[in-house]
Parts: sequence; C-alpha cells; structure tokens
Amino acid sequence: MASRQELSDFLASVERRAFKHAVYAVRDEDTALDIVQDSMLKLSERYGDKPAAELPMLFQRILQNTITDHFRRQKVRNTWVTLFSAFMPDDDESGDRDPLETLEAQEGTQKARSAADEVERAQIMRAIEDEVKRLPPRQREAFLMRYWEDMDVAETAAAMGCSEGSVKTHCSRATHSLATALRAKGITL
Amino acid sequence: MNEQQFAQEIRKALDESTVRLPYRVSHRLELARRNALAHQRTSEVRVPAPSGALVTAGGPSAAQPEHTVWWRLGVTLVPALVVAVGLMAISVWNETETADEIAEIDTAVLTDEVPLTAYTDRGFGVFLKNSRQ
Repeated sequence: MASRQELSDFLASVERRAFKHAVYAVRDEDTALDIVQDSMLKLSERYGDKPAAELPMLFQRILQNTITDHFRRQKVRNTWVTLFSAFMPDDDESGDRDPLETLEAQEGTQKARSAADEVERAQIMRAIEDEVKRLPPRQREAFLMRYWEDMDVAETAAAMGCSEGSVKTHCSRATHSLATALRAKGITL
Repeated sequence: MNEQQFAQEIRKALDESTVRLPYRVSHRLELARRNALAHQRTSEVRVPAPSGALVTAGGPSAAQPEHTVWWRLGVTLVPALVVAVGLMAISVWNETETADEIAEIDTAVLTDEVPLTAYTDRGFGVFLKNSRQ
C-alpha cells in the first residue's frame, strides 16, 4: 500500500506533466487544472491504498478518462447552448474589455542565456507544443505516455485500453507527423 | 535520427516547458495535491455495528462516503416518490368525481316522471322549447 509520503511524491512528480497533457487535449489552462485536480482526487480516494508501483498506470488511465468525460459533458452542454443561444443577449456589445488583461507576465528568466537565445528557445518549445496539440488524440496519448511518462508498451496499452500493436502504430505515426511538421517549420532537433 | 532519439529531444523540450509554468498554475496544482492527499483512501476493516452504522479503522470520517451515498439517494428518490404518489391520487380522485357526476345524471333521468323515450321524441323537444318561452 502506498504511504502518504509515497503518494505525495508521486503526485508532485507527475502533476506538471499531467497539466500539460490536459492542456494539449482541452487547450484551456483552467479546464486543464480542473481535470488534473479531479484526477488526483479520484486516484487518492479510490486507489490511495494501492501499491506505489501501480499508481503511474492508474493515474494515466484516470487522467485520460477525466479528459474524455470533459469532452462528453462539453458536447451535451454545447447542444443546449446552441438551442438557447438565440435567446441570450450578446455580451460583446459592451466593448469594455481590456486586451492587456489577457496578457501574462514572462517569468523564469535565466541569466546564463542571452535574451535572443531565450526567445528562440521559447519559440521552438511553443512550436513543439503546438504540434503536439495538433496530433490526433490517440496518437498524442500514446506518444506522451510512452516517451514522456516512461511507460512501456504494455503499460501504455493497458492505460489506453488497446492492443500493444496499436500503441506502437500510434507512437510511430505521432513521431513521423511531429518530425514532418517541425521540419516544415525549419526546426531541427 | 531514429524514433527514440527524436522522442528524447521532444521530451527534453516538453520537460523544459513544465519548468516554466506560471505561479498561478503551480500554486493550484499544489493545492490540488494537498486536497487529494487529505482524501487518501486507507485500507479499512468494516465491522457491522448494532446501530447499523459502520465502524472503520480509518475513524468516524471513513464511514462518511457510504452515508453520503444513501443520503443522496434518499434526497433524490423521496421527492420523486411523493410526486408519483400525488399524481396517482389526483388521477384516482378525478375518475371518482367523473363517475359520481355520471351516476347523478343517470339517477336524475331514471327517477324523473317523464319517461326516457320522451327525450328522443322531437315533438316533446319542441313542447319543452315553447313552454320555456
């Protein structure tokens, strides 16, 4: 059984990557934070007494299911919003939004690098993240679990609920798509 | 560059992106982690108590989820049952009322001095009309 400390260490080690997983899928930071919070709570409440070795796969499975649930709920909500949108007042007419409110301050400057290097690296990272977001969902899941979460083929297959062959195919296609897209943008790794 | 090497390079870039998360995000993640830890499931041995409540090794709070489920179920089902019983009562009452009204009319017609066949006679209808005027 995982001790409180083991569970805490596991969650601390995985939370940032889990957030990024969710952001790549839902493309909204606040929604992604809600998804990660729900996933952590489900893992702790339902599987907090499982051995620490089982936590990574369980958490990935919960995370993917929570993301899927989000899309299901969004589909139902969109149906109702579409139905009633004709009766809703248009909020954009007020025009009192300040675009500066949506800007976020840059942080984490590293003194060892020049500003130009920093900007270039940030651009490359953003391009990579954009391309990861554009991958088909199953390919993205397989690629991230396999190469970012260090899960082997069998674990990834179990977490995704598919065969090992499918995982290999998804990973191969994802790698090929990413390489092609980044090359087209002039980015070489 | 083969698939593994390429994936390693992507992984480096993605790892770097997680280091640069805004404070707002990292703070919320920390809060979410603490909240999850506060709700960690522990192995428990359930012993049925005489009062019907559950005594668990995790303490009194560990019995709460079971209680909450029944409470939610009750809160959902009881109003639904009340509404269903109410609708059935209204339906039965309505049918009884209609039957009583029909019975009253039938009784009035049958106990009247005028025979029932008189109402089907056209001349009697004209007679009634003229006598009202």
